[in-house]
Amino acid sequence: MLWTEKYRPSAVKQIRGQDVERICSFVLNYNREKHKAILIHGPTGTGKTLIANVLAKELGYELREINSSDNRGKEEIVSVLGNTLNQGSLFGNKKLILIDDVDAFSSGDRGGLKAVSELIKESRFPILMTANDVDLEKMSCLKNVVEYFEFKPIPLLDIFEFLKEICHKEKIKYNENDLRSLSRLAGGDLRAAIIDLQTLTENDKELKTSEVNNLDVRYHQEEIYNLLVKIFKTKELKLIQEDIDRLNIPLIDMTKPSISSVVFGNENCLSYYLEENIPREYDNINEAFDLMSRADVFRGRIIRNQHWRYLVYVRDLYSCISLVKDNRNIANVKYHSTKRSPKNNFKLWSLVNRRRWGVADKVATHSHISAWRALTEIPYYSIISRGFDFGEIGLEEEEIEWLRKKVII
Amino acid sequence: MLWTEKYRPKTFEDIKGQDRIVERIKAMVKDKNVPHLLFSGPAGVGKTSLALVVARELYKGENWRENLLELNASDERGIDVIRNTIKDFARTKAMGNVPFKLIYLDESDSLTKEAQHALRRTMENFTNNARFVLSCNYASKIIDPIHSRCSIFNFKPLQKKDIEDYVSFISKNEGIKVENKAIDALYETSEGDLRRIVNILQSCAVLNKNVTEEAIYKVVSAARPKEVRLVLEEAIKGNFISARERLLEVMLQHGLSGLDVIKQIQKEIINLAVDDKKRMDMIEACGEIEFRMVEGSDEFLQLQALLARFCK
Repeated sequence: MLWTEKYRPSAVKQIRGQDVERICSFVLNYNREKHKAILIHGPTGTGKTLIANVLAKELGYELREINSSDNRGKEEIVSVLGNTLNQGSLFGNKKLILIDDVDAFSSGDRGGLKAVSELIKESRFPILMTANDVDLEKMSCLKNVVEYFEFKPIPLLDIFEFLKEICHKEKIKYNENDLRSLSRLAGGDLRAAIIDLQTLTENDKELKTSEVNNLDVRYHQEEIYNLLVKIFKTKELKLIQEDIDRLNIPLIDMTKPSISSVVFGNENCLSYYLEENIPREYDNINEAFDLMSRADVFRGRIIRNQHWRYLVYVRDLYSCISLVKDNRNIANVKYHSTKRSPKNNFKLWSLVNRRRWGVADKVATHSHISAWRALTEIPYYSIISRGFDFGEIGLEEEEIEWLRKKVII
Repeated sequence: MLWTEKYRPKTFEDIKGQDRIVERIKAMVKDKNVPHLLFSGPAGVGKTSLALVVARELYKGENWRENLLELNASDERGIDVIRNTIKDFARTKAMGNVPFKLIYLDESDSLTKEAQHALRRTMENFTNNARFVLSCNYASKIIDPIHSRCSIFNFKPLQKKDIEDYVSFISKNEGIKVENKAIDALYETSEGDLRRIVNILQSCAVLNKNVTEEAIYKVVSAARPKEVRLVLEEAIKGNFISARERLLEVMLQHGLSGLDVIKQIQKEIINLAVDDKKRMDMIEACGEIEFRMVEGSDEFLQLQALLARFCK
């Protein structure tokens, strides 16, 4: 079991390192509030979604959630939210509405945010929204209808105390210095800290100094960002090559895909930083990505033939990214780490951890195919489950229910 | 109950459209002299079914599943798992009065070269106890030393006649009616993949006992993620970041591989609202990226390169 689940606070007073009083008073005194919604913003792993869940539970409100794994176009928003907002009083129970990751409304969710901003005004129930980033153009329509509230990174000491408690409960051997470094490396992201702790101690119930030292990649982030600046802003090919050689993280990810063909195991590789940030920096992304794509062909050859010498061409092709820019982008760009890592992209977790996988796995075993193939066939199963018995495949009641409810046709 | 299992062939005679292969394998099984086998061919043409029939026939009267190890190479995470599981199974003698155990390794072309070399040793060392049946989509992805240790069988895509027979057998048995045009539609949309045909058919049967052409297209289009098209439109508009985000979601949500996506992109290009020159450029780029994807290693990166080119 994931410790992030196991040790999830279940009451407001258990939430640490975050000032949540304003959120509580907003929900409790909802009728007297000027704005009908609060937009909680801040970095990942600071408890934004958590507070909504905990509050609803504690106050006995029904939590109505719209997150990024749902379709969130105008129609969907109106049909989900619109109904909720009007019907609620009929049944008498109170509701809390959570709209998660509003900065992640994608282009496919046409008119979704606009619809949200209009529905808010009429809402009879408190609405909480979360976002990492609030400066986005597309979110300007929310400006006048919501109250902004910032969640700060969780203080080092709180992370430390929390990890310590987990260590005691899980009977994990550790020394305080290592645990402190681990807490610091998380950079205010409590979830990342817990995941790191679990990964490092899963095998032998002990936190080893060497393992913690290996983990200090986040610590190297400054070094990586400096290199990115050099590549994106200069054309000093020789200097860039030297810097790449000195880099403390690998150039390319040599692990296997861990989820689908998209998510690999080592998120801290130069290639991921480049791919993530090229479009934030360049106008002519095509040429830059062409170089990335050619470099990847060499990666394939390295993996297949174990011919490591090809790595120099990967390095050289990456350096050449500095040469293909038209004009230097003088703006100061904020660099991101890869969105392909579940750690940096909570949305990924929700996509991969869902019931779908359990179902695919069971059908796969039953019908002699791979779980991957079963996954692509789920739409069929969904339709079939409405007319045929699925019991003998070994699916649980609720899994069958989930299949039936999936809207396909 | 899934029809794909209900109607999975139980005997050699049940397997359609692969007569010559079935004939040869049947002779081997009769002599109880089965070499290592390598089945290659597209999905849904009977590779797994034939392997299971081999096990049933070899172990007639015995508990056939006891002596069969079924593994799927694309699901097993590390080579170590495969190595250990396979070795442990192969090390011990077969149970009951049977000549050897059977190890069926599906999708074995997704094994790395390293893993294949490890496998080759195991195949040699435990020949007395166990025989391997490997199946793959592309025989070219299997290393030569394994080729040389196996009898190789190339499965052909099913002919329309075979599919008609199969469909009419099922429909008679299930009391549904399938229009002629619907059979054409099934054949068109399935690329000869019987497994998919049966899934589509069963889905249609839920909607209506009378299976029409429309019903089939409805089910098929419901099962095909429409989002790939949206990703393309987004890219053409020049919104690279949101196109990329969307693509990541689609691939995870539907469990698509990079090749699945590129196949669909290639089909969609013809329908996009772009001028001829752009369309030509897109087709060329699509081919180039598919090539690099096979040669390279990170499918999602290659797709990003393709989207970047479309953004131009």
